[in-house]
Amino acid sequence: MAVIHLRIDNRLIHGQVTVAWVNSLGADHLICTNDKVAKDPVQKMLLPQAARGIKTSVLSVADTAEYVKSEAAEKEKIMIIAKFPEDALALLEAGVEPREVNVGNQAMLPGTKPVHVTRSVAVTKEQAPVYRAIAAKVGKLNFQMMTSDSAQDFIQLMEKKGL
Amino acid sequence: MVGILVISHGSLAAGLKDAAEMIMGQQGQFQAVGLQPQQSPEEFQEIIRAEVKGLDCGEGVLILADLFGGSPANAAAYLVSDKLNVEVVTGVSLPMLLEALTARMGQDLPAVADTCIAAVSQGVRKFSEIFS
Repeated sequence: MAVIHLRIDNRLIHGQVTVAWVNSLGADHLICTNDKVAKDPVQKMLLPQAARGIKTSVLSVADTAEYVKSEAAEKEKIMIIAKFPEDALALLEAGVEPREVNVGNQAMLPGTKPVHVTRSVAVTKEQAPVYRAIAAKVGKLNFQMMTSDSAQDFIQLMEKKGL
Repeated sequence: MVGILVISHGSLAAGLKDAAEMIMGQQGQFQAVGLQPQQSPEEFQEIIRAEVKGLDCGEGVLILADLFGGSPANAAAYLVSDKLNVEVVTGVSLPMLLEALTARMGQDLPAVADTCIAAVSQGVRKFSEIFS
């Protein structure tokens, strides 16, 4: 299987930003992963349109894991966008092996009291161990908003904020 | 009259409203809301739902969003999907907004939306072609 990049981003496909990432990585298949979004007809219609012609799937965690292990996926260069860190960890636990994992946007969720690790990434106390588990599984967890930014170590950024 | 709501990332929407009112003066049934970095798409959707409710005097609301595929426009898509009396047009610019504020004096919601889209090509010009 060829998952070249796993991005954690609760904005999922964000127009130009996603297109820039796909082009820079040379990905040819974009998969948005979240169980709730996979059942949302509005998102399923909008997300592929926002990707401007890049082959796009909107799948549950289980379906994503199943697809990337399939024969069809072997020839592809897949970029996965997981909505939440919990989705990313579930993918890793289901045997998905991305070459790299990156934290993009993670906006604050209503009713939570997160720490803003960066301007665009909010992390709750409950989520901090999830990010650590991801980093432990893949060796390194990057924070990189745009392709032109240099990658920072996300766990170190969390530690600096006392998480 | 059709209400107008401009939505964007950050303060672009507020800036467009400010610029439009600098040209046309204070306008009624006209609001601008920007998605802030710490705001979730769900929270933003609730805010624009409330704004639409306040702006709709029975003739519906035109939502002008900054970016197709962006979070503000995606949030507005749920209002269309829920069959609220709204039209959403993406790619808002100052000429588009001025056209909308003028067209709504005599046009209904679908017509104002079409007028906005038609205004785009007239507002984007390359000066070297004009001077050649």
